[in-house]
Amino acid sequence: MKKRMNTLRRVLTGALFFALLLGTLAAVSRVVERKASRTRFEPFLSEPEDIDVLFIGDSLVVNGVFPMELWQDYGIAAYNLASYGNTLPVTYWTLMNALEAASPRLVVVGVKDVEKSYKLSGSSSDVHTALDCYPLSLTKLRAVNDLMDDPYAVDDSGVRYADMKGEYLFTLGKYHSRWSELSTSDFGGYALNRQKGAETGTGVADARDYDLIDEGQAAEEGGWGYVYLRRILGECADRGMEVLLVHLPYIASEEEQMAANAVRYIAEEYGVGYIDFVSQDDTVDYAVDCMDARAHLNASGARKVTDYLGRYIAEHYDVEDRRGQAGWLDWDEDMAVYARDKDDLLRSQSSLESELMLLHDDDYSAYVLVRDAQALCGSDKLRTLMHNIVREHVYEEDMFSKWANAIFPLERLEAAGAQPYALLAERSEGTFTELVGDELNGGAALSFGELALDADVQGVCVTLTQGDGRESAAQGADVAVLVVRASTGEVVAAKGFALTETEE
Amino acid sequence: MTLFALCAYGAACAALCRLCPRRLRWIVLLLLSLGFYAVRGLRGLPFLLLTGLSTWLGALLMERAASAPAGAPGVPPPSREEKHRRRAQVKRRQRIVLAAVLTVNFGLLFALKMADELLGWFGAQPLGWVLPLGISFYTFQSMGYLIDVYGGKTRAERNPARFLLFVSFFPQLIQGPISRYGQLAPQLASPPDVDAQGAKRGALLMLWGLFKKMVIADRALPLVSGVFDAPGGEFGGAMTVMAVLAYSLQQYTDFSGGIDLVTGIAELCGVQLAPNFRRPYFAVSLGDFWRRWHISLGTWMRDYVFYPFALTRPMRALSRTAKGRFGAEIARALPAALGNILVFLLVGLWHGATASFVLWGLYNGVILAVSALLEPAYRRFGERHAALAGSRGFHVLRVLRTFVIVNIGWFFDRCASASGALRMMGAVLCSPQAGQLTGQTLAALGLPAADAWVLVLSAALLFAVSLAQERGRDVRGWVLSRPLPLRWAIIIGAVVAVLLLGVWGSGFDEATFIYYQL
Repeated sequence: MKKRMNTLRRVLTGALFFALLLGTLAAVSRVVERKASRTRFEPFLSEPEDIDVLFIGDSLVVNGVFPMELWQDYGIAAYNLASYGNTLPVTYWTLMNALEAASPRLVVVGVKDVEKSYKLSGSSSDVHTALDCYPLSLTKLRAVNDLMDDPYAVDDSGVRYADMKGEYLFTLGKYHSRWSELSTSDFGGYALNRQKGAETGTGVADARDYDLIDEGQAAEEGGWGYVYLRRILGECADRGMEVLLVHLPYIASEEEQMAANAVRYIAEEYGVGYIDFVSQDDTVDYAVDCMDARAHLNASGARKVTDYLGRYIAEHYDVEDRRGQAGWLDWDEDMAVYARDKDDLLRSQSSLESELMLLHDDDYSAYVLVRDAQALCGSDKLRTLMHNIVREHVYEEDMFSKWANAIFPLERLEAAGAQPYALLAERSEGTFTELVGDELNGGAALSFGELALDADVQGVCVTLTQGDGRESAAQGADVAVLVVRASTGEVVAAKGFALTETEE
Repeated sequence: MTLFALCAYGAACAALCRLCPRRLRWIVLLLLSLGFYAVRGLRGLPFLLLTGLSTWLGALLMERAASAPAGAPGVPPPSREEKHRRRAQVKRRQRIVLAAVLTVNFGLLFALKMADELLGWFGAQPLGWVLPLGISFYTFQSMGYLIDVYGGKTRAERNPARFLLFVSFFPQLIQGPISRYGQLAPQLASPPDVDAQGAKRGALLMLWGLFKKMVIADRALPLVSGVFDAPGGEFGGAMTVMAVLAYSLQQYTDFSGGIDLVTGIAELCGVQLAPNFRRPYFAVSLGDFWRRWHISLGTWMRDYVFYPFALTRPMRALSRTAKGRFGAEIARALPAALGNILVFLLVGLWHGATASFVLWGLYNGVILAVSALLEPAYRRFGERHAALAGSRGFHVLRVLRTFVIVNIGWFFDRCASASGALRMMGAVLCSPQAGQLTGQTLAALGLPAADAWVLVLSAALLFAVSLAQERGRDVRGWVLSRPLPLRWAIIIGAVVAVLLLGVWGSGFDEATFIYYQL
């Protein structure tokens, strides 16, 4: 009896020791891990309600779809689970892991790179971002085994993916050496993504245009993308989820367009929706809506695509408007935080191009005063960005909707010559006004107060005097921008820029 | 296979052994050892089997040759001359078998190990043969057994499977130690139960080995490689001294860390491997150093090369001649001096058929030879100045002197060429360039400040533990006798330290040892 008790005591002590050891290791692992994945996807995993719409895909989706805008405009509860560098195999396994935490009604799949013959991109870091946040499970184990089954697949540094399986399941293997770069945020204070997974690009790049091919030209199926796209469609069908395939806008080569056309046939085969923004070619303006040369969308482009998708989803799918519903009230709080983040972006830009690009946003009224319109129009990009501020969403019969990028709505900008020019975009009223030369002298009466516009050789100044007497002024050498929240009249940003260096 | 996988494999083996009846454990160990070998490189398995079976058969044949047929009843016992003739005949047969087996196995080792280097001398294309895992270690171990059987020190093993276990016992395949049959085989034949205390001691030793290897050795690696592998003239003497000190640390912790790890695994399985290191940097002379460093190779060389060479007829004749000319003390020391030169020349060649290793062997051999010849003078000095010779300060001075001598030798050991070694030594003496010794230089070499601090503090811990062991303290026993909360805190802290501060993960093979294929 005594011997048995001793054995039992020894076993229990051993178990306690290993529990302590494992607990310590789990805590250490959590502290040292890179937080990129957790930052983006932890809000999804901790969401108490079932998200209605999941967006999955690669970086085009990360930067191209803003779930908070969908919430604000359509009441759609969506999360952007896409991740940089995701191939469709990774996207498939992202979905499989995500479905352990949610049962969405609609899955929107970004279908770029279906033709690729590899399962993983060269950036093992991107794969970590896509997978790290999901807890260890049989699904995750299957994901890692499947994605890294090619013994010859290597990452950019030449390390075989097959040798990395362990570090995707137990991230300490990857991040243990981060001990020397830990900061206080690693101990729990890291900032979570406040855009439901999306990320905003603020750059304005020159993305070259591309030649459209005929929609009948389709590639033959071949490559892992097709295989996993079919798996996604099959899995969603089995689970009773609807799927919308989207080919978001980017500078697509002929080969990529042919692959996208092949996806159209797959969509028809499965009876799911498919929107090919590339072949549509008029949703975004590549001259101003891209943040880099690879045509990742900036905020302006993303808003256009998001609005398009919001309308499409609201019209074609049984997705409820969750605004005001019990259980979703905290999304309004998230919306307020998102709005504050947008304000911060407007305040923090040092580039005139980025500032003008961000003004393509219905949430803000914008008053832009230019000292010399001709000088500004000397830059095609700035000229187009000025037009872009007030470009509207128009409906056409033969297409569901489109951004009229061909439209240059400002009528007096180019004609103003070397005179001062002011654009007053009153979003609360849904109107915009252009003032040129002497017309500026009288200022303008706005819904939130009086606007004074001063332009001389020294520079330009926009002064808003609100009803309660508060004054806000934006001054600049060549361009002054005053931004006001459309719903409340609160001044969000007052900035000045010089054209020569487009710096404040 | 990573070191963690090796640890897990070892723990699984230990658990399986514990679950098996004692009489079957050797079979489990044999299967697991062959399985380990197959996993690490199936192509090496035939070589292991060839060595194991040829040695087993050779030993058996030698013993059979020695067993004289019993005299038939009524037949008169053989005359003295007849006995002598028969003994000579037996010895001749045994010698033939011994030579054949030695030739086959050392020839195989030589061919696999040296072929490319020798071809390189003649400008020929290398063959690119992959060395079977642990071939040097199991060849030396098997040949030691064979020579022991030849010398009548050990009975030949009848059971080929049991002998194969002696050759293939997996912990020692990675980088030794080179076990002796008499010490290891009885343990393997019937490994005892390992109690909780024994298991904890084994696990602690494994953990210490991992710490030495992953936290110290692999962290020092970038500094050592960065300086020693740099184009000539890039670094001055100050950085070179730093690098050779780092190499001392790296090489010791890499090798002894690996040995601690496999010794711990063997202990978990109920087997005590022969110790291979005894805090060599506390040695007071070069001879003392080599008696503390890679002990199993040193004793192998002593028993199978040094003594047989020193006792050869020519050496005895030389000793007799020297006695008349230089006196008895020199005459006694002369064979030992030449023996040391031969041993270290062979060890140098074993490391590689390059001029730098030959110089390394000669450097050590000649210093040991001179030391042996000067031994009488040292002894007389000690007798005349007993107080000084026995003082702590003098002891420390001798330790430091030995450390410097050993480190000079490491230049030949680590540099790719003898000329490179000489150039670096020249830089130490003539071009210190102390300004290079900055944090930026270390960071550029892959040792940023935080990592450098880890290295320094880990080395300090290693020194403290070694000092305690040198003073006869049982450090593992000390840890295990602490109150439970403190004990657990130490162990869990050590595990976390190894995992956080150790160099491991994909893209880095922490299971590669410096002595891995030697």
